[in-house]
Amino acid sequence: MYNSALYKDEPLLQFIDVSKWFGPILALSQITWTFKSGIVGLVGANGAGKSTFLRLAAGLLRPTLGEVKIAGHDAWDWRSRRLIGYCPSTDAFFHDLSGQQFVLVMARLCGMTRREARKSTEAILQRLGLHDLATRPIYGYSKGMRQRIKLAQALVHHPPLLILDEPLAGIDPLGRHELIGLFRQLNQEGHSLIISSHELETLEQLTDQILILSRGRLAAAGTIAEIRHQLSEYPITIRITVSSPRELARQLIDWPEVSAIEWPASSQHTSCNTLLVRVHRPREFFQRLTQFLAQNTSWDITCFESIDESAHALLGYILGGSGKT
Amino acid sequence: MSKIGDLENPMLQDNTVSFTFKYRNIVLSWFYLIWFILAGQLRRNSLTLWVSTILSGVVVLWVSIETQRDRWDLRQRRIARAGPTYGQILDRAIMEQAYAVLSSQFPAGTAGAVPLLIPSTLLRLNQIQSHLGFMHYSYWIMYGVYLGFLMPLLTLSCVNTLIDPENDAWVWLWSRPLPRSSIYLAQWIGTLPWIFLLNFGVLTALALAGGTYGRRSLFLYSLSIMLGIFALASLFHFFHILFRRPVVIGLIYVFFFESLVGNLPGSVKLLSLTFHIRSLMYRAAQAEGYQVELLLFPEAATWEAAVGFLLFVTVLLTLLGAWLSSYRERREII
Amino acid sequence: MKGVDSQLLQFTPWEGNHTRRHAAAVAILRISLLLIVRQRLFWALLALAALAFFFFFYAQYLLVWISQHLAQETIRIAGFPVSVSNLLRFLDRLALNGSAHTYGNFIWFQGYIIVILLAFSGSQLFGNDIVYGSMLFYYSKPISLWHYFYGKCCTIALLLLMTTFIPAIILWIEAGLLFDWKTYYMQNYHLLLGITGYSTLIALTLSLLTAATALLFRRTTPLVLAWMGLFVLLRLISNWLTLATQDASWRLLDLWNNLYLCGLWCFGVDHATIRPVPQPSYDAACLVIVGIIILCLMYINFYLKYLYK
Repeated sequence: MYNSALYKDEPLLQFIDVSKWFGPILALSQITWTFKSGIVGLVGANGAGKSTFLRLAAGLLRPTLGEVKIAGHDAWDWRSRRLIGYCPSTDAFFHDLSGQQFVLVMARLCGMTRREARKSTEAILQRLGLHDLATRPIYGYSKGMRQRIKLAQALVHHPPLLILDEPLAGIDPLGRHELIGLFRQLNQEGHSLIISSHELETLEQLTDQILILSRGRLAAAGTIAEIRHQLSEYPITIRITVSSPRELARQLIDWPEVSAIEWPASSQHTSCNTLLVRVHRPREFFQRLTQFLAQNTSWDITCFESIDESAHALLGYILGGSGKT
Repeated sequence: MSKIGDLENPMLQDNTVSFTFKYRNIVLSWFYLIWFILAGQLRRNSLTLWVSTILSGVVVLWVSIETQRDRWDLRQRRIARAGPTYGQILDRAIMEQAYAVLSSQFPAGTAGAVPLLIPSTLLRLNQIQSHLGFMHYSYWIMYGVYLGFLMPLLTLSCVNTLIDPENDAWVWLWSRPLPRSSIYLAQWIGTLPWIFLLNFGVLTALALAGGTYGRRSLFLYSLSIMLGIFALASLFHFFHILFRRPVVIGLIYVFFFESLVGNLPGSVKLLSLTFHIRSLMYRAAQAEGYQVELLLFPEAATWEAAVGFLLFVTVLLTLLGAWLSSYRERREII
Repeated sequence: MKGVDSQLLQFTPWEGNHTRRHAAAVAILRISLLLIVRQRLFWALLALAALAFFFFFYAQYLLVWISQHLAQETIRIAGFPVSVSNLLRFLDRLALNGSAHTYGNFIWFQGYIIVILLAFSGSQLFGNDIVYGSMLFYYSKPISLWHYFYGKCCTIALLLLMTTFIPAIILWIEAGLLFDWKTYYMQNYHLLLGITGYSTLIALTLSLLTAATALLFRRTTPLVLAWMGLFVLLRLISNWLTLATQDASWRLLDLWNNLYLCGLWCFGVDHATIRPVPQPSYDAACLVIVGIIILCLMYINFYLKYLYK
């Protein structure tokens, strides 16, 4: 396992009031964020600044204002890159090389000896399922294979921090499932990962820690539950399936926490006994509902769930819109 | 606070590979990078090199034809279409000079052998005559075609092919734990052998095609050209750091700035790399006794000044480029 | 709305009229021009092209000023007294006198920058489309690729006209204003036609040549090498061979010189007054230019039919 004691005092990645301009365009604005370990999903609309954020973390860009630190050292410093494995979204390679040669070169350029590099390359390619295809030139690879090769070069020198820019783009569902398993495994072994993706369902399978960027600003950071808690004013929607929905609705409508009640059309997930209750200040609502149900035990509630406690709904609220990126 | 240098990478649970960062290994990886850049040209089937080869081939073919037809020696060249050759004019001038001198020294009708007192002017005329061919070859081929066209273009294309800014593959090098200045230096060093190979390959072909004059020019001018290549390579690498389109900037520099500034009177021409390289070639020819002052070029710098300038430019631009690369972001990202 | 699905209430169908397909070339021209002019390097090249123009502009003025104000005097240059008549004779040799040679020489001098500008434009306009696969967007539209080439070649022609035609016209106007304008414009309107002819010929020939070479080489570096070979190396070789053999037909290798001769023919210049000597005939130069145009068109046609995948 990685010696996390080495990072006890210093976070693995730190953004300290970071802003980045490209000419007159403000790409990132006053980002302050600390990351110690685990897996973080980075989400945001197109042009929100995700790639800029990751490139700053990888030391490929310098912040216009503020600092980016890797284990307490400036990310721009070449020595910080020992701790980083960066997987970019761009698809440019040294096309004349085979996959194996490419990963081998990357390993050698990280300071590995020939023997170490060869052994590590073999191991990584085996792990990513590329061993049989490794001798083919990269220009003949499919999109998915290129993604895996990019991942391989990021892993070959065993960095504690992996920065992955859209690692699942262009990968088929089966491959995606395998990669998700791999990411979990890497995390268990001690690697920390920052993954940007548009696949929110995938990120939710991987982690509950998300970082939401919106128009260059850090809109939210933390677990989904934490972010939800902070958004106490945001009305959540609760689906309740009960034997007498109209009576329940008559009771609930007078509550100050309830803003609306709907009867959804019947579908696979809903029946005619289902009602959707939109509430704000969910904590107060749940307290009142608990007392109400305790005093009135005749209600036959068969289903009770919050239907927008998800990254999509959260993203939709924070970014505005459906939550699609 | 832990220092990064003290960090050790752990073992993986399966496929265990232990790997410890050491500064010694980073130095070795830098040398590996130089080899990687150097070997890059071997892997690629580059259109640029093909076009360079074709252009060089055209020049070599032209030189070999002219050499076969003995056109470097101006003796055979006619002044006008139906006029006398330069050789005939020179012979006539020598004869007239000799007749004038001898008739003034010895009265008419004097019998006996003509004393072999050849005045220095006659000797000089003869010497010019024998050197004319080489100077003519130097003027057109070495100073004109090679220095003014082939050398800068081959150097520029070689630098650009190996560090092609139109390909985003540089991101792989920049994300390695190597100082960016060292990556710049590695690129500089890695491209030099190819630049020398290309340039001296062309020079050797010209030497073979150019006959005696070609071989003589290869022998005389090699050092000057070597220093010139260092300076030009440093300059074009520096353009790569400074500009998004270094090829076009290089062209403007070679065919506009150098053509204009290198031939201006006064001190402005001292800014020109071509002027200093030409000065070195000049002085090398002068040291062998050639009358290069007959060629229509502005006065050359001294040997020491020219060498000093070229070395200074090489070192300055290389160090500046290395410093800039450690400080600037790659423009292609933006 | 009739014929519209009631669910698509926010969708408004387009009810305009299709223009002719040639209008697509105008759109391509506009976009390509924007692509070039937004680059700072283009403006730097244009500034360099303006240097030759400003030289001619002010030298023309200086010549007229000297001849009008200092007709019999001696002036001092770098402390040395110079007879005005000698100075005028020197300036006349540069042909800065509002004659056909003035405009011909000016456009000739622009050749240095034009070559670099075209190498840059060729890779931007054509090379990038092929390398990055943008040609597919044009393929998917209801236009033929000839419309694409027409639009792109018009862009290059426009860039060339900016560096040759417009400055030459300004020089012509200036010359008229420096002399008696009525007399000058009446007597030299044919120079205006000559400027138009010369510039059009350059625009036509070089735009096709740029398209053909950019399709062949695609990337900037080999394209630049090829252009320098065509315009610089061939010029050097032709100069040498002409001097060595005193045979003017070797000058036909110099493409820019051929365009210069055709341009002077447009001006109606007497062949004997052209420098340097010897020069090939007007017919031979025109034949070479026509041959190049035909070759370029043939190659572009061949490329579109067989090579583009």
